[in-house]
Amino acid sequence: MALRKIQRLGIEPPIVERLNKHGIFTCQDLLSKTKLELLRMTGMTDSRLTAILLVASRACVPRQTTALCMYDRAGSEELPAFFRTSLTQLDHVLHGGLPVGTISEIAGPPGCGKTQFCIMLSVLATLPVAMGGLDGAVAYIDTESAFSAERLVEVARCRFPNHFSQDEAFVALTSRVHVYLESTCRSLLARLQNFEEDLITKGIRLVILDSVASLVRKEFDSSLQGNMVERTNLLSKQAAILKYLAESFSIPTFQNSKL
Amino acid sequence: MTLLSVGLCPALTKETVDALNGGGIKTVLDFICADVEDLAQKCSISYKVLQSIRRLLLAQYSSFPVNGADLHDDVMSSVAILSTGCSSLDELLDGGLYTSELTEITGGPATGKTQLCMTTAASVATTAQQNVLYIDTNGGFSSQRLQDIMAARGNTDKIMAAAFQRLRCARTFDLFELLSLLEMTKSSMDSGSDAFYASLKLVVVDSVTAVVAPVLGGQQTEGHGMMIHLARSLKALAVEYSVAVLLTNNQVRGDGTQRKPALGRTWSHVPHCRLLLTHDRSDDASLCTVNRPINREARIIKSGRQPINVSCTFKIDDSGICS
Amino acid sequence: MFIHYVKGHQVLPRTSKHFRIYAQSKTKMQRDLGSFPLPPVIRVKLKDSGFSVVEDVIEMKPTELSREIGISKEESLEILKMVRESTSSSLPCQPKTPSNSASSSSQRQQQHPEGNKRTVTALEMLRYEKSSPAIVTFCEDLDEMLGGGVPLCKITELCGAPGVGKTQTCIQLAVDVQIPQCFGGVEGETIYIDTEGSFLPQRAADIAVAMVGHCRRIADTNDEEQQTALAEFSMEKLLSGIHCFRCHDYTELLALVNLLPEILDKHKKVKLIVIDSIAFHFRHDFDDFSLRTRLLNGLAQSLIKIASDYRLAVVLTNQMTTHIGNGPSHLIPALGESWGHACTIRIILFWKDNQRYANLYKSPNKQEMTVPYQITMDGLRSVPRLENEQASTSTSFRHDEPQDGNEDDHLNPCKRLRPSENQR
Repeated sequence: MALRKIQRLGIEPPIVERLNKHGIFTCQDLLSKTKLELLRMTGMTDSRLTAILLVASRACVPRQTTALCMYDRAGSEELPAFFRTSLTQLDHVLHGGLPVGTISEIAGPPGCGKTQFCIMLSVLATLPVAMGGLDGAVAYIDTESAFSAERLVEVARCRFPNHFSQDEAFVALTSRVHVYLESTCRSLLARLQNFEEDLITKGIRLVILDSVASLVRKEFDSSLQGNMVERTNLLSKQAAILKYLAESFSIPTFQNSKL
Repeated sequence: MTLLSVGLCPALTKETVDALNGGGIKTVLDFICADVEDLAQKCSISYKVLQSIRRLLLAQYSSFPVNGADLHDDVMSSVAILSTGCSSLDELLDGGLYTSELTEITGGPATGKTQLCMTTAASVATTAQQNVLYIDTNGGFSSQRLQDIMAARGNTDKIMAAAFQRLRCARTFDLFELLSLLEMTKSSMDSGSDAFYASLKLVVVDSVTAVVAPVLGGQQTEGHGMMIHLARSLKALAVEYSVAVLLTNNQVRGDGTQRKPALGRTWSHVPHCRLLLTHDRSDDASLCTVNRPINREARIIKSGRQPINVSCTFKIDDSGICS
Repeated sequence: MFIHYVKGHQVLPRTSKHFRIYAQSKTKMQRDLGSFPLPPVIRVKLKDSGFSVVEDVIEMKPTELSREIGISKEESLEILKMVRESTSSSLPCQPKTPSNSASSSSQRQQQHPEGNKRTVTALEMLRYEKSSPAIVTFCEDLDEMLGGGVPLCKITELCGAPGVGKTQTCIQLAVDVQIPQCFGGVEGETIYIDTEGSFLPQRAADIAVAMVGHCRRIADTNDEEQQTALAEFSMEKLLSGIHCFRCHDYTELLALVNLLPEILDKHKKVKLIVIDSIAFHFRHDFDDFSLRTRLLNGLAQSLIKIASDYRLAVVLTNQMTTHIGNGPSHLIPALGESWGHACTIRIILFWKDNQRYANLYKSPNKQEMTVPYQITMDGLRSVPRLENEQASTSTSFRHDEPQDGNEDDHLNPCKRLRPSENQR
């Protein structure tokens, strides 16, 4: 919405032309400028300029809702508002489980079981809703090549022997878990930026990122001052994309990070 | 500059004005800058008439040199010194705030600029019993705090009530509204219709950066021009109406870690006197649980009268700023 | 005026007030037309035609001016209106859409102590401030530190590391602002602007339920007003009073702040605007720091203007960034030092020894202070002083009974809380 072109806003063409000449094409460009800059560029009077800014603002403004609508909507959807982790105490403290539509993070020292936790969540997500799952596919973005398909199958067999009693169940499970191997920060960012299509076509209901820190640690030397800023920028960008995806598709996103 | 119009002087008749307008001379400035001989030929007006008009206009519109002794007498009779309410600061400022001068207080966040403004306003309203106009541009003014400061200094309820009538507050959050407000103040002082403005001696603007910073920068230079308009307006208010003007400016980190007052080098020439407030409180909030008194310092960084880099310490408590 | 020549110089009569002969009494410093927000092309046209100060144009008619300088009649009318409004002693009406202009200016007149005047005496300001209640936080120590609660007409900023409780505090305030006036509350609604996606309606529901329960407990059965208020008081009503906006980037945030006057005219009961958090979209993807500073300054001024005009509180949350200076690195509020001047009240939330603390870093009328607090299942609460040794981790979700006491008890200024006592 911020990138909506100003020519579609219904402003008079000569003014749009004047703005385009100064490099203002989208609503974002328009709203980032100060009033004095715009007065100079458009040659319009103050009140007309204010009217145009209001038109552009109305095009970009987010939708209004109330907390009650959000609450009712979360409760009434077919899919639950929380994704149960199957660890009862953890679920109790988390108020039901991992909240759908936001990012959750697990952090810990090496060897404490983060990747195992992720693998277990992958199994749970593919289960039908009646059993506490999300009945959907899983996108597992692996940056450390720590994912093991054998371990996935083992967890499924031991945890839910009744459900996974026949081969078809295992085939269904493994075909629903899509693993993406990314080895550089740039490829990870590119993957995330183009993720929407995959999410829709494959019916993904859980995204796991294992792990957020490893690539940044490898590529950015934290002792150099300049790197910190770039690193923060990159991580924030990733976070923003993941948040946006989580909310638009109402899926829980789970990321793994080392201490 | 004034437009040329009929009646500015006896020789300016309607025909003369029209002829001059036809020749492209519309204002007094245009007339004075033009060559009289050329003008005589272009507008077919006699040379003698043009010379007499020119002499009259120059007499009316130019400024005149003033005798130094007269100026000194004038200053001694019209300039007042207003105490800030804190004796160490008064000493630092050679008595306090001088009328006809702009004094600027600059400092980082939470160093005590607004507190100093409120203490000075309270002191001028109670002790000096003069009128104060407090212009708030960022929401930091609290009349409750003003009352607390006056009460903590031992003023009776009666004195406080009278002082509160002498204090007026205006809230403007926009540079153009601030300019309009200053013009309105000046015209009220000229017309004399409101008794408040007759003994207005202190105008506080807290803070100047809040209204000027949003118009600076970007692909335009008009904002810079607006800042200069503000500077001229404030200076005129101070100098022509014998008012002390107290401004607040923020301190920002420039490139690297060097701190400097905001609004740039152009603004640094505007105030007559600049005071820098600092404190030694650590940035780290987690150290705040340790109970430690904060050392605050005020230092002169620009003055026409005092040596610079002289400083004094002060503290902030219930009675505002004190030594 | 009697003019005579003495050696070619004119001698003016002395006036008692203005002896200074820098400028004649006729040509006093008039406001330059260039100091109005006009497009440069019109400004140049005015100058070329010889109009440079306000007095030159103020008596003219629109058609006269448009003919003289060659602009359209509408433009000249606007210029004349702008110039005339600036010289009047009353405030100009905000340029709004034609449909709302009448209602919005009257709304502003009602809310503002000044009505339409530019200045107001300090006494009237004092009465106005005293009649504005503060929004309680339900943590008594925090309320005392702030002088009653989060004040109206000011911007309050909450800074803290992740997990310390900024969003929880915001949700608590969004519920607390709706406390009915008969219980000492503000009885207003909230606009909650969420930029990070951390607002959870389920959590708001928990806090709302706890608050309703608290009010029912302390209500006076004989007070009719309180009983009628209680009858409609429910979690659903509280949640319906929180209007949420989810901003995905800074342009949406800017657009929303531009439209806030329109939105506030539609929802007249709003008394609190929360932006959680203001830092998120300005910290990533921003290469041009001067643009960022400019946008943030503009945003701060718009917000304080709205807070003042509509008599509501604005609460912002800010993130922390690491400052690597001369000493050991520590956390400082994000968005740079120029942002530190934008808020009127700044509260820094931090962890120390497994306890959450709030430090009042900046305030116009309260001393610097640090108080402990905790987040329970029911929301933000104070740390009970007697049980300080047992109040180990604040993440324990004990069902803490909130201290009994009516919200309209004005908290007596007691001695400054020294955190060192709590850690004995």
